[in-house]
Amino acid sequence: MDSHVALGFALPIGLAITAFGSALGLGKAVAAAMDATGRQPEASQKILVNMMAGCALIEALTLYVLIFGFVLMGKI
Amino acid sequence: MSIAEQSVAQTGHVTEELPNFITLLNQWFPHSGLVHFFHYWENIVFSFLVLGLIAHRFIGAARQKSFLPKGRQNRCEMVVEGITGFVTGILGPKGIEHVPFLGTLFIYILIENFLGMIPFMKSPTSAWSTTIALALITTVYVQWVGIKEQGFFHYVKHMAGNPQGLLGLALVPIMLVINLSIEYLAVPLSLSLRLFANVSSEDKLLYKFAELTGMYWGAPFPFQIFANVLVMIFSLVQAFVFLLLATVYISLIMPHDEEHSDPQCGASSAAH
Repeated sequence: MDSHVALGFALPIGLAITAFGSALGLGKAVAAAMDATGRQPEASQKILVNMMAGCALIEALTLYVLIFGFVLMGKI
Repeated sequence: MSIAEQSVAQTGHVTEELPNFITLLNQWFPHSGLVHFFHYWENIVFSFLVLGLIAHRFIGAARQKSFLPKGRQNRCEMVVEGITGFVTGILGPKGIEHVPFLGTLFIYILIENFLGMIPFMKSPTSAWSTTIALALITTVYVQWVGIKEQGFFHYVKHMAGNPQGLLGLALVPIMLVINLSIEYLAVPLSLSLRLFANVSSEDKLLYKFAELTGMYWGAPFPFQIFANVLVMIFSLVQAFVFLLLATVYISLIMPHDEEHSDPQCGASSAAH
């Protein structure tokens, strides 16, 4: 197995695992935001803003792997 | 040489993005030194464009100076008051001295992100060089604020984890290594990579949907609309997250000794 095969195998699987993990985290964050909005609907705007911030931070982790993928894609 | 071949020769992989006016000029006048210079410093040209736009709008609004604002001054004051309210909500009333830096950062990143959606323009933040510059500026500003507010000795103590007693002193080397590597390496890298990854992948998404629409004679055009809406939302979110993180880093490095004044206030008000 040389580096091309290894990269060709590992990059999509790595991205898929990271996307899976971040999807779980985002699901928890959005579920918590929905619960909080259900308790106090007047605060829904503030809750939305905080949820967006949290989601962007979690999303960033998947995007780091994507950038890794794009950088290493030239080496396949 | 086509644009794709040129970019392969320069960087080793094909950059697929929508054409902007500089790449078009480069295709029409491939032997002109001036156009080649502008094409090489493409991101700087677009950054200067954004700078000129912001300066023209906001300085023009600040010149009006009327007590009851209207028109351009009203809109700019709305933006500034919104950002001030947000920043002072996190940093407290003393945070207003950081609003110029943070507000400029937010407006600059926001307009740069949106620039990619205008035809024949490119977001400068879709290149890592722009975002790492912004992240380094933010890091230097945050650490400088930390040193200025706390004094150098307390800043080093804060980096060493505020050691209390023997266990604290024993952990000082580890705490120093962790804190310094997080504050000086992880913070700029994560800030810059988050913004760069989001904006460059939006660029690639717009390119792919445009290619798809071109290949199938305009039938996938609703996807193009969906892609543009997605890009608008995520550009706004990423600029806001950059502002939020910069504000939170400043609040984390500020000194925590503001509870000492409260008992005195309570005692003096009880004496009345």
